Amino acid sequence: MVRIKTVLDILAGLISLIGVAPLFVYLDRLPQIAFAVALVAAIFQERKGLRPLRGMLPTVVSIVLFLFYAVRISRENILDPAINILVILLAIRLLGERIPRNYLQVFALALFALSASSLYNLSPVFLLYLLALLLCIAASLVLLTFFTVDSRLALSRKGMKRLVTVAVAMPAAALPLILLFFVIMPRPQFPLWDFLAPAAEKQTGLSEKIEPGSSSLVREVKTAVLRAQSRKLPRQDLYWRGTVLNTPERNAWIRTKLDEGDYVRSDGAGLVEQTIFPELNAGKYLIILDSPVKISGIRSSQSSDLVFTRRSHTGRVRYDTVSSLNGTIRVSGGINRAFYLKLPDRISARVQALGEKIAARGKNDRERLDALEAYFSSARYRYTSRDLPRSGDPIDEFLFVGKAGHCEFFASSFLILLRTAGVPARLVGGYYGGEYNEMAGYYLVTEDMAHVWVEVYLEGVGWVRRDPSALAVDFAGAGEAGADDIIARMRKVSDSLSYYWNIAVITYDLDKQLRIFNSANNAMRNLSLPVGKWWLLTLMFALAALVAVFPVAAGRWGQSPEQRLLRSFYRKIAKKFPAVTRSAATGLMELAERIDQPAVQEFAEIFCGSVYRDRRPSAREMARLRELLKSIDNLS
Amino acid sequence: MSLAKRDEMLHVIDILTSRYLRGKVRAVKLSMIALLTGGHILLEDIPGLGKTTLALALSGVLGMSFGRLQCTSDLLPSDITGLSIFNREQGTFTFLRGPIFNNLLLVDEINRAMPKTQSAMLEAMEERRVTVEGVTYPLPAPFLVIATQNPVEQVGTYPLPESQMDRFLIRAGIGYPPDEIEKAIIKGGSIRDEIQNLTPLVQIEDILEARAAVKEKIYLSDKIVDYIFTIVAATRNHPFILSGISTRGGINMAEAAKAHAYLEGRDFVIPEDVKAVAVPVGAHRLIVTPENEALDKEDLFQAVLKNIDIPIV
Repeated sequence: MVRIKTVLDILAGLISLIGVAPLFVYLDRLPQIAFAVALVAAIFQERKGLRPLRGMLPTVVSIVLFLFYAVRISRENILDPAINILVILLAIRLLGERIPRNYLQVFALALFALSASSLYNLSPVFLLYLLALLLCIAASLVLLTFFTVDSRLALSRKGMKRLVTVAVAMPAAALPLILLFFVIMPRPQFPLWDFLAPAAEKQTGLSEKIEPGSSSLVREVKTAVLRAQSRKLPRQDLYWRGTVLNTPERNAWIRTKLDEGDYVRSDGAGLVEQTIFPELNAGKYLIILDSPVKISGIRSSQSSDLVFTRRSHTGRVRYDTVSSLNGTIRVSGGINRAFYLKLPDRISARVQALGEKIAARGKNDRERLDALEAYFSSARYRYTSRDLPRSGDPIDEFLFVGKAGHCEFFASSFLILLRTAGVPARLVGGYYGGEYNEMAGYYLVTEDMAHVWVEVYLEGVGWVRRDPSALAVDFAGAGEAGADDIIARMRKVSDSLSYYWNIAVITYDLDKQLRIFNSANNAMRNLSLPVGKWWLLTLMFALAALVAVFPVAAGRWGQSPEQRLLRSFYRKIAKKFPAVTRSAATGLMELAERIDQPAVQEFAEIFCGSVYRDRRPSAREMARLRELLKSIDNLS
Repeated sequence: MSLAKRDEMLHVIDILTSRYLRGKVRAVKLSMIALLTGGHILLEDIPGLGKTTLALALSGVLGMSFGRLQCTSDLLPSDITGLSIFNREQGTFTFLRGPIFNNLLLVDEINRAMPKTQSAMLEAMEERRVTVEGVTYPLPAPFLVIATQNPVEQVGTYPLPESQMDRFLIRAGIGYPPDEIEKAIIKGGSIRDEIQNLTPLVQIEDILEARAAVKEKIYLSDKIVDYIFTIVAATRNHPFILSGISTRGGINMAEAAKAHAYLEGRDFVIPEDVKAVAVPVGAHRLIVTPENEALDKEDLFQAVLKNIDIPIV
């Protein structure tokens, strides 16, 4: 024998665990400990039959802790105190008396906790947690109905097994329906609760400010920045444009907005269409493969130097882009040359001299650019992320002393030399490279791929992309994906899952729904088959319809008229004479005798007269039977 | 729709139960069913409840010849069948018919007879003829045996083996009459004398005609056959039952159901007919497992019956 309460207790523990587990890392220390202790204590309580907490104490503790966290709620910080309160209440409930109300509260709190976790983290695992919780709660609710009637009720092992099976079958049966609703239900374009979640503090590789020499070490974090659904591209084209930095500010480069000539939309060959799924922490700039042609599917503002800023919320989004691969942005109407020639206040004499030397080597901007590139190649700079120059003039040190640095050094020194030589140029911040996932067909760009390069303005051509880092002697390996070992492959698989989750669930929206319906509609309309095949299709549809309808038909429509008559007779009898019991072993005449009404008697006689003579009722008999059925309605 | 001689048969039952055998409607009806199907009936009850009265009244009203056997342990087969006696004058053996050569035979306390006598009796019942010294004598038709036995008394009895029980179409108790009726019976005293002077209400020809009607005019649907088979099969598969109802039991059940339908005035059998006769026809044929011998066979069979769905469509 298994006691209902035991099973219910186990389920309650499981439910609270499932509810809190995904939220656990976001909790304060106090609720973390309180929950763990409460869970263990609840198990002990049950095992040893200890008295549960009751009376005023838990209530008082709840109120005090509630107030403690409630005062910390502010407009910026709603979620953290709220989840802490939630989990503490859950912990107290776990220790409380085992009455149906408390069980229900545990279930509800666990459900809240799980949904709160989705505000922090939208990962596919959430779905698993949700399904597990759903199953457990459904089973518990069924058990609870038994528990409410008699709290000491015990069932045989077999009976319990059957009960739980039935209870679990219900949500399992609802699962296809949930999936169906997922496809057809309308939903907002962004997570409703998103405004509650604090803007993700980011340690992104893409910064607002490029300041070489500010630190000696660059931390390489392999967190995803974006995933771009795309065909596979040559590696040298994988420049993901983020922002443009055009103004010197002491040792750093920052971004200043300015109005200048419109860029000219590229067209023709070399266009790549991509769908980009940025991660939550991707910041306000919309990353797009260089050079951008078009961006759609998101509210954004575009500046004249082709930097796209998102205008709305910070939730999980997706957008479609078109890029041209020629690395050039054509400009109509020219640029503000003076602006793009501004230099930092302090430039060392050596740098100044080098710049002037470069300027002297060429007659125009293009020749000077070539000269500088030639110089960079010949100087044999090394690409490194360690032991970076940190002196007062890192550019000078990089160019003439250390001759080693990362992209920021390369790009800023290249830029300074260009500007010294009188060639208008600017820095572009973004990412370079990407791991192509063949399975799902997308590029994964991670934070450690952050990169800075230079755009040079050439009269008559436009802004031309130049990556000075590529001139380093050992650049070939930089930004390259790691070896394709098992772990890397597994990471790819798990990343594909994440990707599909984003596509199918997170960024699934009304737009996509409409597209599905439209494409289904179009597919139907444009369906053209060879003439001879039409009958085949019709046949298949008919078959499918038959299969779908069959169980219903077998249950109802397959019945003969007299069977339907009999069913309605039984229904009416059950309604009119609730005191008369009937089982499958009760004969019709027997029933009529029990009811003792002439109309019922006659109905039974006529009916039996046909059934047990192995013949169908005649038309007259059917008419009479129907008449009698009606008259049964009027019986009192 | 009219069934031959049904009114007469119902009239007999009416007269008997309203005047002479008050409170014994069920027993009378079952006897009538046995008569109409050509089977025999075993009345199992304590003495003094009117078993003999029932038999006497039936024979009187039905206009049938009546014979009676009081079984004792020294009763010989020849006491039943009769025997040949040498006729001095003619110098030949003449056969003197025993009490079995009657339309209605009352075998009182059948379990007191020796097994040898019992089996001779039962064989005659089944075969409807008697062979004595090489000559076969047919028994009169209709031929109805009403056997009685006292289930309580055990000393000096030879209980009928199950195989013999199977030969009775029906086993039934009479039971005590309802209180009011019993009081009236006590007040009125014994009615044996009145029964002696009963005038026959029907003739033997009528009974034979009614039998033919039951046999030929009552329609037995395949659904009912299925139903009976389901019942029979259920008794065979029941965990408490060692040996269920035999095929002969199934045949008898269908015949009895037909007779019941006839008495109800229907020319077709409905499941209720089967249910009405199932227990008296079936219960005594069951052999229960040793550990369940204390169970009442009728209750057990009733329980089996309750779980069988009637065929309705």
